[in-house]
Amino acid sequence: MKGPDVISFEGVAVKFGDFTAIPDLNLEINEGEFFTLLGPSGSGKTTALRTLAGFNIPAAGTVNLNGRDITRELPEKRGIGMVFQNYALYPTMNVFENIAFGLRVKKVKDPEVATKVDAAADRVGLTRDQLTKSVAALSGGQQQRVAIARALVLEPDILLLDEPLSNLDAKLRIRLRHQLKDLQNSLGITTVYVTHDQDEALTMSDRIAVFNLGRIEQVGTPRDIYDASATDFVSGFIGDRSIINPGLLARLDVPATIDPTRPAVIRADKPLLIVGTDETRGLPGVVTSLRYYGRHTEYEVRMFDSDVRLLHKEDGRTHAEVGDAVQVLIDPRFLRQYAEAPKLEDES
Amino acid sequence: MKKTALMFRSPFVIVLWVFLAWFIVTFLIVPNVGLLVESFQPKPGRNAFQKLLASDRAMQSLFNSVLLAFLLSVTVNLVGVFIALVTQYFKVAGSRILWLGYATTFLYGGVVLVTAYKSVYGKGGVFEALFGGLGYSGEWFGGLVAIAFVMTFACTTNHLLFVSAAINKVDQQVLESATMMGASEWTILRRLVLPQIKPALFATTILTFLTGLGALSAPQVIGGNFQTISPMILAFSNTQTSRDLAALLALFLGAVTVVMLAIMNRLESSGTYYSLTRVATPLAKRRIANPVGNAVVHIVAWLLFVIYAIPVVVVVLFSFLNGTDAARGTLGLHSITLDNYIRVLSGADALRPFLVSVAYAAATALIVILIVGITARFLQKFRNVVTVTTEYLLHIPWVLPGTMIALGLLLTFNTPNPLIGGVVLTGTVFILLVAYVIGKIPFTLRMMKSAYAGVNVSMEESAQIMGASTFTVFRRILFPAVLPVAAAITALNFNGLLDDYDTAVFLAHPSFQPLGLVIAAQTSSEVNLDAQANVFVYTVLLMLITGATMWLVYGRLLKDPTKESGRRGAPKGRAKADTTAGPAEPAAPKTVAEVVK
Amino acid sequence: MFRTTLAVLVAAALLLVTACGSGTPGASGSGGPASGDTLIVYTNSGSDGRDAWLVDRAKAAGFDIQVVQAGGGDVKNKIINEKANPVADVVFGLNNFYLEQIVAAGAVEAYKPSWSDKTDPAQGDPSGKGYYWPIVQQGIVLPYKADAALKPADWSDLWSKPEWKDKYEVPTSVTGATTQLAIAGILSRYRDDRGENGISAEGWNAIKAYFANGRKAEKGVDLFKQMADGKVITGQMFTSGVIQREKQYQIQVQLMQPAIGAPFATEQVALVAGSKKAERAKQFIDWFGGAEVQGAWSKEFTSLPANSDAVANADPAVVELHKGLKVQNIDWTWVGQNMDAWVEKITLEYLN
Repeated sequence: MKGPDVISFEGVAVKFGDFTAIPDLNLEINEGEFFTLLGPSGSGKTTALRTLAGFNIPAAGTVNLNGRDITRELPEKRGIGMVFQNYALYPTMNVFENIAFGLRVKKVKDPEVATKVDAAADRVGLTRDQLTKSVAALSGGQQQRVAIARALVLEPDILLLDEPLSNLDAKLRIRLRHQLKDLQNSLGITTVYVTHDQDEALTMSDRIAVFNLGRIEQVGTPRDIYDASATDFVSGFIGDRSIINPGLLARLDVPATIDPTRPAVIRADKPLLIVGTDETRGLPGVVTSLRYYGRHTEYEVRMFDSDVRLLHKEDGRTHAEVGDAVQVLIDPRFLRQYAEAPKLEDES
Repeated sequence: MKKTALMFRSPFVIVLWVFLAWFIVTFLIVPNVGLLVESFQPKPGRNAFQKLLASDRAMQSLFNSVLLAFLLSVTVNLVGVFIALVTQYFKVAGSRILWLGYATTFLYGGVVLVTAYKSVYGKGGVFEALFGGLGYSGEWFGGLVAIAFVMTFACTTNHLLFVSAAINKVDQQVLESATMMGASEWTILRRLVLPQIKPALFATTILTFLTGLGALSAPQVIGGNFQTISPMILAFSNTQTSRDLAALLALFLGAVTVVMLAIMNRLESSGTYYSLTRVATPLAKRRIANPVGNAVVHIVAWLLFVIYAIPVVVVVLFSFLNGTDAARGTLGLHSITLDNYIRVLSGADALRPFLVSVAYAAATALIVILIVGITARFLQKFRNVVTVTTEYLLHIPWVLPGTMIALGLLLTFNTPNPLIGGVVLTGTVFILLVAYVIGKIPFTLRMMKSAYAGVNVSMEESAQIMGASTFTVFRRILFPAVLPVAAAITALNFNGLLDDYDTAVFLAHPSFQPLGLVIAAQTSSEVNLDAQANVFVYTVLLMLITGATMWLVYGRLLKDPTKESGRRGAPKGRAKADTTAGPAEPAAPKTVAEVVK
Repeated sequence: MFRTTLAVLVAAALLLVTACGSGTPGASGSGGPASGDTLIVYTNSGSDGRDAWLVDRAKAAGFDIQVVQAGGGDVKNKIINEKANPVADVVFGLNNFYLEQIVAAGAVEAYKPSWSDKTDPAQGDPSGKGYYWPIVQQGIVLPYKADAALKPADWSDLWSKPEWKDKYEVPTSVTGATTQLAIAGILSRYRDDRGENGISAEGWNAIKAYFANGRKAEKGVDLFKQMADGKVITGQMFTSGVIQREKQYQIQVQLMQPAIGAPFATEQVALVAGSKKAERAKQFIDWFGGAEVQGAWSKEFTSLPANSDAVANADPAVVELHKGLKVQNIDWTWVGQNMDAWVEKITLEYLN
């Protein structure tokens, strides 16, 4: 969604004592975007978020919000809503009071408080009688909703979320993912979301910034990140890929951008498995292992000097077993190559 | 931005620190420095240091105090850990009753407790009367053995509080997994549980060490040949000319205390917490499979119960017995009487000392928790020159004995003093209050610091980001979170002040004399055979008050921290995700690595 | 819950305030608040009902007083420490050398009471300035059962004769007034102004032996009980405590009557310097030290008054007890100057 940028980091550096967490951050986030900061632990994404919130003061650079320089402003003055990883709900208050806390701080009158809290609760899917419960009595998913309602009830300009789904079980995570995204869509509020989970990032974001060791490796839409990974780190962090070694490369019609003497990578969803004894369309290989997922199977096929991973949709008609000779069609347009030598995640 | 500047962003903090600066200078520094300077004024031909070194008795006393401190550190830990395990960890029959027995140490202490033990085990005591025929003699009850015996059982209060709470926080599943792998109970205890409660154990050990070092009541009453430092300090501070000796000895104790303090701070910065609250799902108690082991544990547990309970029973019993008969050893059924109570409680002003003591204790406890409750938060959160200095200065009352502090206050505020607006404090009710307040600051400070350290930092941050000022965050989020601990400490402080003598004797106002003075008058009475009985009556009445306090706080407040809000809600279910920040949940400190994600 | 606790505590505080107001004036030691006319009396002789007795009697005579009872050393220290802004008006019960220390600190004011001529000047302020006046005669003696196998002729027997080992009670601390008086009696014999703290080496050896040779006192167990049980033969005791103890522990004793005399540290009364009610305090002293009050006191508390007129009203048993007791000649001023140093030396070196 294109629009004026509402959040910007310019030359921001964050240090903790001698340790430089973020050396030089430049980032622009547009109005109404669902923007995700993605990266492994220690990559600086939470630091960046907390700098935006005001809990870290940068050693250099500026942070702007709606054209205002907020670099040194106190968190309580920034008008930002935030949902914390462990929700940070107040155990001595019930759900209603938790949500109402920010309004009470602003000295909003009781009737208005009630209206706003009810509205916020509705929006996140909390029922009226849940409002009187003690927060300890709620399930994880419900607690998360309370945390979101609490942040939203103040109608902040932007919403920050620090890995809000990481403490939930898988099914709940997926369900809430959808709900969060729907909520953000309907509100249109600029949202900055921190996660290490690539599925979350891909399904929910308008744009993603991939962090590694305090630096941004790439900013782009989910498709950009996935299919047009700018660096080897991004390529390896997101999605499955195979390393195509020179032996196999020689048999492919590689584009000019690929140096056939060095390994290249290709996403696992790109190679096509062709099963059938008289097939000659692709290149030959032998199935060395498979993992059956129900609606698709991950095969690993040994082709010349490379182990090629591929995802094969189970259409009910073709499949292969370990040891089978198969044909694999690789479209060289999807090959990617980077300055660094690629490594598979399981090897590190 | 430098850390110090960060802290003083809030006007609330600035006001607080101005108050603290005034308070510390006026009541902690000026009186004590003044006293020390006066005590150490050089006199021709007199070298306090040499005198002490030359005195065998003084050197022996110092040695004895240190010896006692080390000895107690071991014995109190043994008994303390055992009773904590027996009431929290193992399945032991009648554990609730056991707990009540072990908790009797909450009810009384000091001279009153020692006297009670003496009347049971000592010469001419109950045991001798009952079992003399079987060969029991009270001869053994004196010297180091008696002191160690009594103090070992009297000082387990902290274990019952803090070590119990730490045991309860052990992860149930850790223990289950070990059991599945075939580990014995002993192995689990030694290799999984004890390491996890080590921080609480360290902290409690230090407190025990300091208590042993400064022991006063037990050595005075039953010490016999085994002399320790505090009685000597007391004797010397009461003279005009030997105060430098008292000061020197006190400074020795103070130096040891400061070292312990530094160690405690080191421990806490690595994540040690005093914790008093329970988690929502308490540990399931473990059965001791080995039948012999089970029997032994039960026997020892109940034996300990008897040891704890007997003095209390004796005190209560003897409060109803005729004192003359008791002194003469001519007890019989005819001796049962209510006379003692009537004697103590009749008379126009019989209740006055109680009211005075309760009022002083309550006022002190509330003032201390107010000052310290707020200050501790900032001392815990910010570590800079200002906070570290403030913290060490606030521990001055631990460095000097109560008598010296009282003396310092007395001499300093005898005349109109500009520091307090040109008013004289001596001879008013307030000087004793000041002494009590400053005496309780160090302990309260340590406890509250730990309590705050256990509060999840994101609770504060979430409130901040919603626009709450520092003061509002404190008032509405932080303080309620540490309220259980604050209440517990308030109760402990309150109880501990009720029978104070050493400070009151110096500073009490003639019209408002607290209980300790009245009790002391009884014990110093030389002819009155009813005196001992009177002391028992006072002890029983004291125990009623302290018992009521403990029940109020521990029985109601701490039973279920999730009921804190006082708002009616649906019946509690079990929280699925364990990520709600409960009060005083010890969270690992946010290390840099953790935050940089 | 917290609110409830708070309410309870506030209620307790309020109770105190009302107790304040409703306390009957002139009641026992910790009585009602001091009104403008109430005298504050410090004493170490107020235990066992003495304070209540005095308050009632004073009230009947029109005096509104409050008695603060504490140990002798504590009372002395309070008077001295509070001298810049005194709380007390009158102090009584302290012995000579304590008063000497108080006089040296400038904490009492000279006043000659109406009964001054009825007292023996040798028992009061030796300076003649009248800083303090005797009210109760108190000797420090060694009592022993009438049928005791061993009877002491003088204090020195205890440490010099081997048969006395562990047969007499010796105190474990030297902070008590009685002990300090006994020590004064012993050390006075060895006065040597060139010696350590004014005492000759021989004297220090004597004291060392005194403490080493005896059986240590047990806290909370009275000397007379030990004597009744046969654990010791004798030990230090003050005369006004003898008769009561004879009754309580049911033994009959005789008092040692050494040739040199017994240390007679008489209890004194004095006007506190800087008292805001000096006139009233003086009237009280006149009343308190008079023959009538002291006579009644003596009967009630088995002590021997210093007022010669009061002796006539005194308990005859008490008078009988003191017969034959000579007053040892002791320079109390000198004792007052040196006692603290003696206490220090003994505490450091000779006590066990």
